[in-house]
Amino acid sequence: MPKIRVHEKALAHLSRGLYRSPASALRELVSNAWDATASVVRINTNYPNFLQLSIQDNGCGFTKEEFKVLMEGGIGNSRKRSDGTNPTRPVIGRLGIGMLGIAQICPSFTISSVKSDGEGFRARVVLYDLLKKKLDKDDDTIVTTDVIHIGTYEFDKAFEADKAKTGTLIIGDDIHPTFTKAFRDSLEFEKFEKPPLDWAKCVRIASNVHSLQELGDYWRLLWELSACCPLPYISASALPSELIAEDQRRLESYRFKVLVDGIQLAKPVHLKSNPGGYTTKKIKHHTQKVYGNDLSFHGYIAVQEGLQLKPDELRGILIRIKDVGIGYYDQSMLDYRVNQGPRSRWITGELFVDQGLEDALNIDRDSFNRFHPEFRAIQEYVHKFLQEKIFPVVYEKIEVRSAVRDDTKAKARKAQLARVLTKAAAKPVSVSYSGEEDVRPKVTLRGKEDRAEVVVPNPETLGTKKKNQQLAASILTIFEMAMRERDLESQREKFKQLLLDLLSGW
Amino acid sequence: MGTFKYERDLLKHFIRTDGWLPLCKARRKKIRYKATAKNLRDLRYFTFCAIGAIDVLMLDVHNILNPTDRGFETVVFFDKDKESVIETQTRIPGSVGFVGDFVKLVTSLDGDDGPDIERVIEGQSEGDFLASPEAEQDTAQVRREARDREQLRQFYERFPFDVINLDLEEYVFKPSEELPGKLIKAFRRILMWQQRAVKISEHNLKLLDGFSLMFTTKIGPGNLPEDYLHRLQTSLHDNLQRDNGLNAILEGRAGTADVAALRQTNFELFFKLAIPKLLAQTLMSHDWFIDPEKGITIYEFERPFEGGSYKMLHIVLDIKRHDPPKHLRLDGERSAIAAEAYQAVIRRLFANAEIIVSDDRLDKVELTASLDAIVARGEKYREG
Repeated sequence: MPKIRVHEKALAHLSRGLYRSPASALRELVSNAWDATASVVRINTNYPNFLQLSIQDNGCGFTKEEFKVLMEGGIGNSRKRSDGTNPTRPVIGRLGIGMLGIAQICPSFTISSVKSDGEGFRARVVLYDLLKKKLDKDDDTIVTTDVIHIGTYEFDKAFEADKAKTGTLIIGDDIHPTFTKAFRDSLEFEKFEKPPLDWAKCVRIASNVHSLQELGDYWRLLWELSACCPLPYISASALPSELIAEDQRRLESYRFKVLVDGIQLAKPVHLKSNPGGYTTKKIKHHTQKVYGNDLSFHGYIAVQEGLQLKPDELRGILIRIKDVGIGYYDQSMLDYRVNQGPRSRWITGELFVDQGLEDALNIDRDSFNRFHPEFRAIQEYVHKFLQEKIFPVVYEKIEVRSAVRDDTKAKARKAQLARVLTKAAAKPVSVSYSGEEDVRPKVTLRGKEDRAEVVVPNPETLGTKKKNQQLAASILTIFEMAMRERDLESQREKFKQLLLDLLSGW
Repeated sequence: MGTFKYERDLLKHFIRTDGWLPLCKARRKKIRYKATAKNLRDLRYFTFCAIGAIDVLMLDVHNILNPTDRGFETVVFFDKDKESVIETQTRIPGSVGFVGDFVKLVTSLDGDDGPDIERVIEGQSEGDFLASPEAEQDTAQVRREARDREQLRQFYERFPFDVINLDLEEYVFKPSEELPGKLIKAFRRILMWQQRAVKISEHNLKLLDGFSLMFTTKIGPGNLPEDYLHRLQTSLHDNLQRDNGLNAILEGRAGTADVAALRQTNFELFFKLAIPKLLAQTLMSHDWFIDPEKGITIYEFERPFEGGSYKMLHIVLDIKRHDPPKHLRLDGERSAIAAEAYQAVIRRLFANAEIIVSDDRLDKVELTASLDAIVARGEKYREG
């Protein structure tokens, strides 16, 4: 039976743009470092110049031969490294994909790698300026019968490996001016602040803006990397109710650090001090079979009651496969079908997929095939969880808060009426509502010398909308007060004055 | 220069602690003198610190540089390769690193030399260098040119500095270059850029009253072309002509007041007089002058190299702005204070011998302890 083949030109097209943001490409390189058992990854953006970009890890490195295989057809092919993997860490990367990704920002780069035995290499990789029209025209400099050349590489024969510097270093040689400009321009944004070296302070700054766009692309890079890399939270109490305590222990046990321009990143979530409190639910470890494959996950949902999450990028649900964030927080909550209005802006959550879902990953490893059965299974579970465990509690709390708020407002308005009447009567006036069901306005001033009492019609007995009842009762009261003046002109003037005073504090 | 370990070199560290440290301390004191909360700012420091960033970390250890929670924001450094810049920034996080050939970058627009060169650098005449061009293709060459121009602009915008440490570890003059040589051209350029105002806040711009300069050069090379030597000789000769007192001073120090003879018989002394004189003269012509109270301090030491050795000169200078500054003087008018100071400085240069730094001058225990503390500070920052 004839076999169906994909033209390699399709891969060349893919290499022109895999990722939607620099952080996604860097995340893939961080994943490679993780798989290489690195304990520290350093990303340098050359802040505030942004004229170079590098990523360096202290992992086990790879050999010249391995690199050669990777460059000559192995990109994205190998999931597992031949050696050096850490048995306590899950393998998460796909060798070489990140290198293609970084090419979007930087079409040529130098890579050097040194293994613990001192064996190492340095090579310069130059990717062609692969213009779409050049590919489509079958330019014979890049397209042969069925092969596409996307670039060249050359080993540096003068490179002397330093055994003390085990790991891999990739330095971008040709940063695209568009990248530099975008990052540099963001330093001039009105709300831009230079990020402190202490990440906890950075998270505080980010939680003061509606969207990371206000802080610019550099902040977005930091924030997105911190969200998607397999890093611990700022602390075990970064989320209320010990939601992430167990995950924090696991993440800390990996002893894995990512520093960007000297800032040591941690997950960008830190929820505390919301006046309305939080509704939190753990998604306990759940396992099910999907087409015979195991799918296992756990996580949490947290609702910041009555207050929109900041930055906006924190709202939604982030799926992590083996602790690596796929894409970013999904604000559609995996395409949740019920419109929850402003309440959807209060929700953040993470799902840690321990087993399965990898087949649902798109080639960018940054998004999902949303019709994959395993994705659908998670989607169904999450939607049911939101429907049954989250929103009923949220609505209940909204009702409680509404009742408290209405009561507070009613008290404040009653006090306002008392203030207006006190001013008019030139002595302290206490206000009380009539217990009678008589809808006729009735104001009684029972005067002692030093104080007066006004009995206001019971608002609930007035035949108007609930939200207008207290105002109607108050207007009727000041009308009665004004009617105590001697002549029509004085009554009109008094009513006007009392009405304006009343409304000024309503 | 082979595998020489600059960073653990005690001779060099002696110069850091004896020459650079007090100079930077005094500069910091000056910029903080009577500063109100509104005017208070940190020392702006430019250096070729190399990977270990020893000079920067020394200033940190001695509280002369005060990294904020955003790191070493006021430190700018240069290194020739990207790897070194990356490595340096791990030790002095928050600092601003530039990569490439400093001299080449600073003089890259010298072909367009003219009064408007700063306008070109700022992008005022040509617009944003990073903007996508309308006509050109997106090629490596086009991108490189855009980045080079942008790097120059960004470097220019970092000026002025309170302390400039031109620790270049190379010859001032290269026989292959035309007079006055690229380094001196770059030096002139940065003296012009030092005239920029410091932006303390949005509406608070301040001109520097002065700055401190550390300048390092190798003595030599031995094959300097005649045009260079002649220029240096003439320059010294002019001083002797203008100030008769100098003849006796030079005769007392060198055994001759004849500069041509000095050049032939004692090239090292000739060089040690000519280079600082050249710096003093260049400063004068760019509206700066050397503080006569402190004059010029010169340290010299010898380093082994490929079976032989070479000598380094470390020149330490405290510099003041002409008063009144150029923009407030009439055309052709000179600053009398600066002219008088220049004369005094040249006299001191001719009279005072350099400080020879050798092993017997060193307190090795103290210097080693100092270096250890500095290196440890860098490692602490590196750990994050």
